[in-house]
Amino acid sequence: MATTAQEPKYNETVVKLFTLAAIFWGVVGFLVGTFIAFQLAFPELNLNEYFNFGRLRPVHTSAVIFAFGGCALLGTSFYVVQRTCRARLFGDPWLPMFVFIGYQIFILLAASGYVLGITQSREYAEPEWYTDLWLTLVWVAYLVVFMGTLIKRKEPHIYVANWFYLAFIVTIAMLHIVNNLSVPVSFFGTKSYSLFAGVQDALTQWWYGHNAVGFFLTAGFLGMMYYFVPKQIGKPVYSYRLSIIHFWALIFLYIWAGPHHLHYTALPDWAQTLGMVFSVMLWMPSWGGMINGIMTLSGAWDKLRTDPVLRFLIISLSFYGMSTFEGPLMSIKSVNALSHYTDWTIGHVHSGALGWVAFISFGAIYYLVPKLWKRERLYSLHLVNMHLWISTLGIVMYISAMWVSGIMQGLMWRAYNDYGFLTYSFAETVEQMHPYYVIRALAGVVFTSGALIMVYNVWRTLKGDLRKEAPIGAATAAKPVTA
Amino acid sequence: MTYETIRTLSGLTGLILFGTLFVGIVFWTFRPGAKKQYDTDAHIPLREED
Repeated sequence: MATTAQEPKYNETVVKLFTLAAIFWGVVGFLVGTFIAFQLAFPELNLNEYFNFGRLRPVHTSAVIFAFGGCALLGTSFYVVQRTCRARLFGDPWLPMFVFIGYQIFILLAASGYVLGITQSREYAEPEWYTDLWLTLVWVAYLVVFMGTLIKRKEPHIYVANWFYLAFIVTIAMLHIVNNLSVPVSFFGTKSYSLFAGVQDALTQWWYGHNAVGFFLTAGFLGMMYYFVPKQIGKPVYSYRLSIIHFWALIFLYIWAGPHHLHYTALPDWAQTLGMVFSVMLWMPSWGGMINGIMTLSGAWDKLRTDPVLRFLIISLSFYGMSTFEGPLMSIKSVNALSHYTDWTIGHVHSGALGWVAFISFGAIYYLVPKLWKRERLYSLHLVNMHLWISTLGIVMYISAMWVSGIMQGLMWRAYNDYGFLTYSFAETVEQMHPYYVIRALAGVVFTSGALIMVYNVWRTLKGDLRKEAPIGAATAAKPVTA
Repeated sequence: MTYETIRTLSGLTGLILFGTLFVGIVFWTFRPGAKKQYDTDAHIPLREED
């Protein structure tokens, strides 16, 4: 394929910008998360109305999901779609640039609103109507760029990673629009009211909420997995057929799982059961996908010994398997009776968000940075390895603390004495949770330290530095035998 | 029609429609003779230099 010297084959500028933005927002999100974890353990840290837990919590969730995860998804999707279609982005260069700048404006509008107390109070959909309208515009532009690139592709087949990315883009558009149908109180005011009321409103919100998990945090990142895992290993995915079944099964099942967020509420019983049954069925595509990813290593397991970037990708798949096992379990009504509203849920979310979403993104970032900036390799693979194990330790500390705290909390809430009275007051359960809250906050410090090592490593790579170091795994292999 | 009837009918319709569609997709994916094509498709990311 002939390309002129002036015009490189693909638009990598927008991918570079999204990669840097993902790293930046990641650190911001992890720092805010760690701070609010300390606020829960030490309430004196609720400084004033702008920086209390209630306002900073959506800053944390939006920063890690939409800013860090979103930038990683948008950036990698632009990278993957160009390379697997062998076509430059559609609307290049202005439309992709609008998507980048527009998305950053969305993040800033959302976050500034939270701190000022402007919120719809819908979990993961907190931004008010004006921010929602802006995001809709940006998202349509994103869909046009992605679809346009697929349409002008030179590769006859659309590679499966793009199916997952497209499902993510289309479904998020649908969820975002329906869940944010609202009537603004005034034209120049920030306040709006939802079009739905009562249990319909609750179901719309959790149809949105769970599919944000299913299509933003799962389908999108699976798109990432289906490109970067085969590339990093240098082998095609274990079974292409399984990847297609994985796709359709995931799409058919996930959309029905939302009602499991509303067990034992005013939602009709049949709808609760439907949500539970579909959640349990999700075990199959989730594990099918995990096995497909990990088995790509079949015949090349030794690469895990020498490649810490690959370790990130494979550990992320392991966490994907673990959290998608735990999720269906928690959606079963009798288990949910114990787990719902407790810290167990928070632990579950973080095993998915830190273990799966963040780790697969770190793997993709470490893969992309030397490629995008045309460096021979990363500054240091040993630092990648340090990041890997420090952050893994942070995740394990976090989720085990929340398991203990959450199950204890659930058991204390349901404890009755001989006369049928509750054994514990709410404040007593909070008091018992204090040590676990401290462990969780420290786990945040540990996880964030790992991410800061990544920042340093990426910065040195961008500068063009190479650390002189022995290859990973080679130290033991090359050791001379003295006998 | 009562709420119960509508609910049962819509559930049944969805089950049959989506169930058939999904089973159809599975059979289509495993149709004989497609293996070679899928092997080629699986190599798409690897054919690019980097």
